Parts: sequence; structure tokens; C-alpha cells
Amino acid sequence: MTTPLLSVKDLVVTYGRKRAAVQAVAGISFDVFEGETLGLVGESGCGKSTTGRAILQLEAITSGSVTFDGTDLTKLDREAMRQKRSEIQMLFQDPISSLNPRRKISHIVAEPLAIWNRGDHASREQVVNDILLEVGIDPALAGDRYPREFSGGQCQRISIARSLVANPKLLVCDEMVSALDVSVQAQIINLLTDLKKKHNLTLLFIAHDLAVVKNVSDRVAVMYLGKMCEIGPSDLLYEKPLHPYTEALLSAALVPDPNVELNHTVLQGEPPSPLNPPSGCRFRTRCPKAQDRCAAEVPELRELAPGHQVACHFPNTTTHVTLQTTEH
Amino acid sequence: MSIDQTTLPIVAVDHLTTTFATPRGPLTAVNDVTLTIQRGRSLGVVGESGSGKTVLSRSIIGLLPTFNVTQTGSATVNGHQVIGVSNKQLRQMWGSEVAMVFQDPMTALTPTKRVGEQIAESLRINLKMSRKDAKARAVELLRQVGIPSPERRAKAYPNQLSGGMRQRVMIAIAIACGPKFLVADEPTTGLDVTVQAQVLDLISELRRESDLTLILVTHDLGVVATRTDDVAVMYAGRIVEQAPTKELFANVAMPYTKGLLDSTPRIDAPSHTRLTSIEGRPPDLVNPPKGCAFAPRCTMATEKCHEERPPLVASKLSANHLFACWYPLGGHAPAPTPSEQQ
Repeated sequence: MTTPLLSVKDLVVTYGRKRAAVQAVAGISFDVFEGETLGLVGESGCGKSTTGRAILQLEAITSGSVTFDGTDLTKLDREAMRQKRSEIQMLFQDPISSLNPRRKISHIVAEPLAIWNRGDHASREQVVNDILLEVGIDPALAGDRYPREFSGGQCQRISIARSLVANPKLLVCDEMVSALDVSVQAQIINLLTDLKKKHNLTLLFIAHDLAVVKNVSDRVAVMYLGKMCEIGPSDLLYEKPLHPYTEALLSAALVPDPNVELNHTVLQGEPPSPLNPPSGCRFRTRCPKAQDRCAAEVPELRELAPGHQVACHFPNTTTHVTLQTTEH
Repeated sequence: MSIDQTTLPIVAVDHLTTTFATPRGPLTAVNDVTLTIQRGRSLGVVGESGSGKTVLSRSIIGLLPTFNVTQTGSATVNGHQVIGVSNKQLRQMWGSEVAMVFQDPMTALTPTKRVGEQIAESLRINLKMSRKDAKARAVELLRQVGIPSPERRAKAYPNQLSGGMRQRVMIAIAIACGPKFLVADEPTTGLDVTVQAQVLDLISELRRESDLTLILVTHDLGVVATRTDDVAVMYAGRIVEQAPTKELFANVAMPYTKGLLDSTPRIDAPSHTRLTSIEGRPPDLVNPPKGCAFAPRCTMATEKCHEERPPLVASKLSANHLFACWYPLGGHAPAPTPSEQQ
């Protein structure tokens, strides 16, 4: 964990223009280190997917930088960025619609190799067969079939095979298990964990399901209305959330156990419109702890405990034992 | 209209089978389901996609297309037969005695009608209210389901509301005519966690206030565990385990239920906890397996499981705990029949 593989600095992404301009991502910074999984959680509209897409330069970036492996991707021209894309791959929520319905599976998985001109025909076939076996699809049976003949879970496996065939360093997974049934979701999560280890991958795992994110991530980042609220090691963040929003999110998550006390809704209402975000801290309109300072001053992300950052004027100090020593 | 039958179960389903005609042959979506729900209880129906949970809940209130569907067995709601009766008869029941909350409030609401009018519509048809009274009552209902500035919102179109708001409108329509029985099919799927908690709280509150009986169809074990009195687990069209919620989670009998629980990530488990997944996938309901439908995916299956289908029986540990398995877990075993007891 020295220099990060991916470093996002003050990223701003704006949709629309002038009066209708929406800052979907309003200046966020975070690092992803080699070999780790960073989970990115938040509710719909918080900008987590936009962040993922902006990293691959699939969205026009208003300002800020995205440094991948020492190169600022925002400064690259089209062709140089195209070349870089083989190192960063993205996985999407709907596995069936992200596969071309009129191409055979073997063709879909081989396509990245053809694009990057890697190997000859025979060696490509070998690579494709190997990777399909790795994700649990029998190439002999599946190769000549079309995506519609497969279930959602199998299509997600095929998508994973396609993303890995060009040997990427970073995978951006956008809600990739959200549409799957739990038993299949568990299969895909386990598969991803195994492949990550085997291929030495780094993952940015974007999802709304707090339990799934905790399970797969080493560190977790929480977003709200385009801003970063909190970043910390998974277990610590879930056990001792510093930001009132993280705390509210966690209390609303349900555990499959009738004996766990139900935490009745702490958070009222819904997020305000990003067209006209609140001044100061964007969470203040729904925050039980909000004070005058929260409206006046935007809280900066600061480190309160080793590796645990929060953007809040009045973080949850009571839950954090180490806090007394780091803050005066 | 309803007869006073406070001691009778509000819902009684007896050997209900629902079959769809498909190009590949008949598909049995609900297979020989028998269950009763007592007044004021809430039953969670869980299962994966295609397990038949939605078809079961729709069958119970007669909300299936008549074309290409064959139904046998019986289902009564408040003493009224639902299977094999005309839509005209069903229409008298819908809204006033039973109502449904659908999963996707965007497609379930009419996009070209103001939400206030959509609530008023059922009031005017079912309760014969005047236009003016219905309008006033609609605003009142919007307030009751927790929509801020209801007078203004009543004039909004569905696309002008957020997902959570739309689901509240759906609930307002459902409770408008004072039904005693509510079917909620995945009411919070697709909503954010904080909004999900708000909607579930609202449903719980309405149940307390007006003694509603509820069927909550969901794939989320967390929702079932925290919001229902009883649970029925469905697999391949059949109920494979049924018990009071606390009993079920305390001591699972079916390997399938255990598999579901083990494959669900939990926020109270440490990060990187290895999930135990269920290999394979649910059977094709056009050609269901001969024995136990779960046997091909079950780690404990023997030859008997593949050959003979286990019946749904009561456990010797609790008469309320039913399971369909030859080799139940957790010390469960079929209760001895009366003849065996003597």
C-alpha cells in the first residue's frame, strides 16, 4: 500500500448547462490501492455510478483528475485513452443487455483480444476457453450459443470472462450482483473473490446493498448527493460509523434475524434535489445533529483515526475510542 | 357485505394449483398449496425468482388473467370463493375487502392521471362517493400515508414523484376503501434502504391501526425476519417450509431455507465472510424433477430424494412448523400421526 493504483482528486461531473446544471459528482477525492477492493455505497442519485463511469472517461469530466497507474486519464487524447482502456474494465448491472444478443459467447469473450490484436486465432481460442472454464462456463457447450440461452447468473459469468480476457488491472463493478437472486449472487461474489486473488486485480465495487459491499470490500466509501461522507476500513466503518448519514444507512439495513431489534426509521424524508443542493453540508437538511455551522461551512474530508476519514463538523465521537487522541 | 366470521381464517387456500399454458407445455407455477391466514396476522412469502410467490399471491385474490390459465383447488377470502368465479364477482371484493400493493409503482400507476384522481377513482366506484367528497378523502389519505403537503401532491402526476412517494400513493389507493386484507408484492424492492424502512414502517403502522391481514411477498429475508408473524418459503411452486417467523429463523428444517440464509450477506458479519452458495439453479417448471424439486441442488440429497417427493408435514418439535424434506435439519422430524400415537 504505497502509491495508489487509482487516485481520484476533486472530481466534478456536471450534467446539463446553466440553470439546469446538476453536479452529479461535486468534488470527491479517494484512492484505490493495488490489490484492494474499495466499496462505494450510497442511495440512488448520490453519484456513485457517475463516479465509476467518469473513471473510465465515459462521462465528460468538468474538473479534477483521475490518475491511473501514474497517468492522468483526463489529460489523454482519444487514442491514448483507448489504449489505456484494456487495463480498466467495467462490469454492469444487467448482464443480459450488456452482452450483444446477436453474437455467440465465444465471439463475445474473444472480442477484446481481437480489438487489441493479441495472439493468433488458435491462441485466442485457447485463452477464451481457459477463461470460460475459470468462470464456470463449459466452452464446449456454451461457445456456440447466444446470450439469450443463458440465465442472469451465467450471463454475469460470461461478462466477467470478457472483462478478464485482456488482463486488466482494475475492474469497476457497477451494481453487478444487484439483479441476481441471493443463491446466485453468492456464487458470483465468491467467484469474483477467487478471481481477484488469482489475477491480482484491484476492484472498485459500486453497489447500494450495504451487506454485499461489506462482504466484498477491504475499505468502504459512503457518498451522499455527490459528496463523499466517509471512507474507512470495512469492519471499522460498519462497527463505528463516524458520519451521521452512515449511521442512518446502517440502522435502516435489515438483518435476516427476527431477534435483532428493529431500529425505527431515524431518517425522515428523501434526499433533496441535486439541482439545488443545500448550502454547507449537503446532508444537513436530514441530519439529526445539524447546527448553524453545517449550513455555513462545507465540511472537508479529514482523517480522524488511522485510515478512517469523515466529512462532518460533528462526527460521531462517542463511538470512536481512538478519537480522543487524534482530535483536540 | 362480508359476514361476521371473526373466528374463521380470513384467507383459506386448499390444494391450489395454477398452471399456465406455454408453447413448451403446461407450466405449473403454483403446485398444490394449502394454507390459512388468521385475521390480523402477516404472512411473509419468500423465494427466488420463479418460485411461484407472486403467482400464489395473485391467485389468492383472483388477480390472474383468465386466458391460458388453469386453476384447481380453492381459495377463499373472507368466506368468498375466488377460484372459478366471474370477474364481476371478484370486482365487488377488490378494493373494499382486499387490495394489492404492486412492486413497481411507476407502471402500476396511470401515467396520464393525477395521483389524487387515481385515489378518488376507487372511492367513487366502490364507496359511491361524490366527486368532491372523494377528492377531499384522497387528500386525507395522502396525508395518512405520510406525504408532505398532500393538497399540492394530489395534483401531481406519477412521474413528478420519487419512487418512495409513488409507493406511498400506491398504498393510499390500496387502503382507500378500507380493505381488511392487503397483498404487498415486493413493495420495497428497488427502493433505497432508508426509504424502504419508511415504507415498511408505514405498512406496519397501518396494520396496527386498522387490524389488517397482510401477505408480504419478498425475496429479502431481512424484510421477512423483521416484519412478519409467519413465513412460507416457496421453491418450484410449492411451499417447502412454513412456520412462525421466530421459530423458522431459530431452527430451520429445510436445507433450501438454510441455503438461502447462508448465501445472504449480512451487515453484522465480518467483511470477507465466505458465503455458502447454492450451486446450480431452480428447476424448469415445465419438466419438474420427479422427486424433491430441490434435490438436484441439495448437498444432502440421497436416491430417495430424487425418486420420491417429500410431503409437507408438521414437525414433532412444533405443530406450527411445517417442512417438506426427507432429511430435515435441526432435530426436526415428522410428528407421529394420531394412529401411531396410540
